Amino acid sequence: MKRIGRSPWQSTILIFFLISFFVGFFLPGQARVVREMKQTYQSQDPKDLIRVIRDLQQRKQDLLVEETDVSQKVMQYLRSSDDTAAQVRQLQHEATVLRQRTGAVPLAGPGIRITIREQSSGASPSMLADEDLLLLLNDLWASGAEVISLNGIRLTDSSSVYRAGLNVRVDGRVTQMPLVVDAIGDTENMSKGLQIPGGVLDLLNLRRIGAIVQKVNLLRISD
Amino acid sequence: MVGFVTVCGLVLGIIVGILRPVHIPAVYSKYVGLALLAGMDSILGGIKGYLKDTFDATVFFSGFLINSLVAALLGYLGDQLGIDLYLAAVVVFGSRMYQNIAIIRRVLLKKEA
Repeated sequence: MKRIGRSPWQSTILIFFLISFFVGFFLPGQARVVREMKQTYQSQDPKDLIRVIRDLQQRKQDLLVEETDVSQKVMQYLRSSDDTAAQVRQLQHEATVLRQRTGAVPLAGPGIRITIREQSSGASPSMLADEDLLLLLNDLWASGAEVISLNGIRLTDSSSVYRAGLNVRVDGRVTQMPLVVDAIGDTENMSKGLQIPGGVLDLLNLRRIGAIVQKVNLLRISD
Repeated sequence: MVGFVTVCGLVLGIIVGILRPVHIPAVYSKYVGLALLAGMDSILGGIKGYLKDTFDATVFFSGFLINSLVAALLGYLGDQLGIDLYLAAVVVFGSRMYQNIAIIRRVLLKKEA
């Protein structure tokens, strides 16, 4: 091997410095590129990428299954909550209606007042029969009456109303004619319901029993 | 002295490279890495030659250029042929670096002794 002689000191130092500087200058850039490449999939081993893809696909499948389960649970919760709310509303409505029907709560509101006067004197007296009362009250309930009172006596679902001689007996309490029937509810519906041709008012009129229907803005019926 | 200058040049180059980073395209990064490996091998070889009193600037500089270029070209050729030829450069330069470091260490130890 040929022996190489020593170069001048300054040029030696200079060339060492330049080459070292050159290598050092590129090292950070190269390190940065390698670091960035490690964060991407470009420089990954295809086998590793296949494994990663399979893992991701499995993960995706798991997530889809989980999403389906969660969606079903959410739908069940929503359905049950909707059902519960509807049931609660229905039960509250039923409770309100029942309280009204049983007379547990006093009510006030617009309604109609029917004043019934029979002609018990004269040559041909006209008497209000039990059937007339039953028809009148049923028509009122059917027309949307929420609460009814007879001469201030509140009726309930289990009330009994019948004639007792010249008087009327309501739930064991005796009241006298003329009979004032107050009904709270949809005024128009109740009025129309009573005035149906061939209805209770026609029947009372036919039997010469005076019945005056008045619309009242505010009626109060207590228990 | 040469070792000190080398370290200073390397550190200064790294500092400048950090402050003024050079953009290396990702597709060429492997070749640049090989070239840098060859460059470091050349530096260590130059230090070894200087310590053993066999240093020649022309050989050193030409060795640095040619080794770096050949290493990069070898990597490129390997990629084109589908062969990991860059491993050859890595093995050669890596083992030579170890050898040069070992020689430098021995020379320095002998000088101190």
